[in-house]
Amino acid sequence: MMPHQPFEEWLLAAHDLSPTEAAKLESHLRECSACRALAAGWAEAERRLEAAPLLAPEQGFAERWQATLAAREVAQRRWQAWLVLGLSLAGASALAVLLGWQALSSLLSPAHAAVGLLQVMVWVAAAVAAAQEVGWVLVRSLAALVPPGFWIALVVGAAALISLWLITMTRYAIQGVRQ
Amino acid sequence: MRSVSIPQEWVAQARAGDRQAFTLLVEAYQVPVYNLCRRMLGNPGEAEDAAQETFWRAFQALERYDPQRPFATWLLSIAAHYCIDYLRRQRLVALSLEAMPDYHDAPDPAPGPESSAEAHERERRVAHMLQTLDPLDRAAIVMRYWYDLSYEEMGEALSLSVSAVKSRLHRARRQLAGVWPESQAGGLARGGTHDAAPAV
Repeated sequence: MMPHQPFEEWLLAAHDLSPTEAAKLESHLRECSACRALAAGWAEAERRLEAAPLLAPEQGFAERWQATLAAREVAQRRWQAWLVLGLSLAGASALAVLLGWQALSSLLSPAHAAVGLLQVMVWVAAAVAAAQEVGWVLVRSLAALVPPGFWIALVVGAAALISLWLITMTRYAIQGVRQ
Repeated sequence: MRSVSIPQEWVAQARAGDRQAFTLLVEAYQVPVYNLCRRMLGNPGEAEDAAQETFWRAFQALERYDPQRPFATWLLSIAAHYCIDYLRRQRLVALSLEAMPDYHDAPDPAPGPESSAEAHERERRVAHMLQTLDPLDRAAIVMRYWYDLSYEEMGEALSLSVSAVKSRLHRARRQLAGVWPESQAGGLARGGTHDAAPAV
């Protein structure tokens, strides 16, 4: 069987052959019908490829693109809105289930729920009383350490800030916020 | 090809969020992108959809575009990858000549003496040849013969090494050389004409 390499490689090569390679290839082609068929087939195929023009889309492609862009952006925004709504509903549902379960357990056992509520109220009252006690201790300690002039300045400054805030809010309420 | 030259500001403006600038890019590159999709898919309707999808993907990925790369090569890369994935999904590699759809291209603004039937027959044969190739080999052939891309550019666009590009081109040429006589015989049997006139 006649060897086809490197002649097949040369036939399909994208680069130009050297004079020696070209001569060897020509000699081989005279003897080998398979490579002659390959050469003819590729020459014709390449001629077809090189002659084929760039195909253009139908007129109005850019206008269709703009319509596609607008439609896809609307779809994208709609999808995002549905996503936010879905997550909100999922969160709300989870909360409703939790609260419903608590309510159901209270209804099934009202005495137990009342005791629980009372415990919470006692705990809150104790926490508030403790916070008050700590606050008074701090104020008394600070009052002993800080000179009276500081307290006067603090009260005057706070009164000035409150007045400024009230004036600003009154002006916004009367004149409105200009864009 | 067949290259398209555009003002560089268009790309910069489009990247800055200017939609009008991107529309100018669409107008400038619609033919190269559509042609690649059409040569890859063989069907005008699918090619239109693929070209629109290419521009949509490019629009969404503009922030990731590297301005050091040629914009055209980047676009063609998106189009080629989309078409390759599409073909693999659709399994249209072995589309038969009988299954080829009719062509409805935009009319030639300056028709020559050749009849449009002959032009369509030529296109049908080229499309048939391309349809016999593996999608990636087909993309390499299209980029080589319609866009004159270098091996390096083809490798970058198709995510292949230079040696892999050469190997795929060689394999595709070998296959096309074998396909041509069959295509010619099929064309003669169907149309009874022997088209040897150079195209366009």
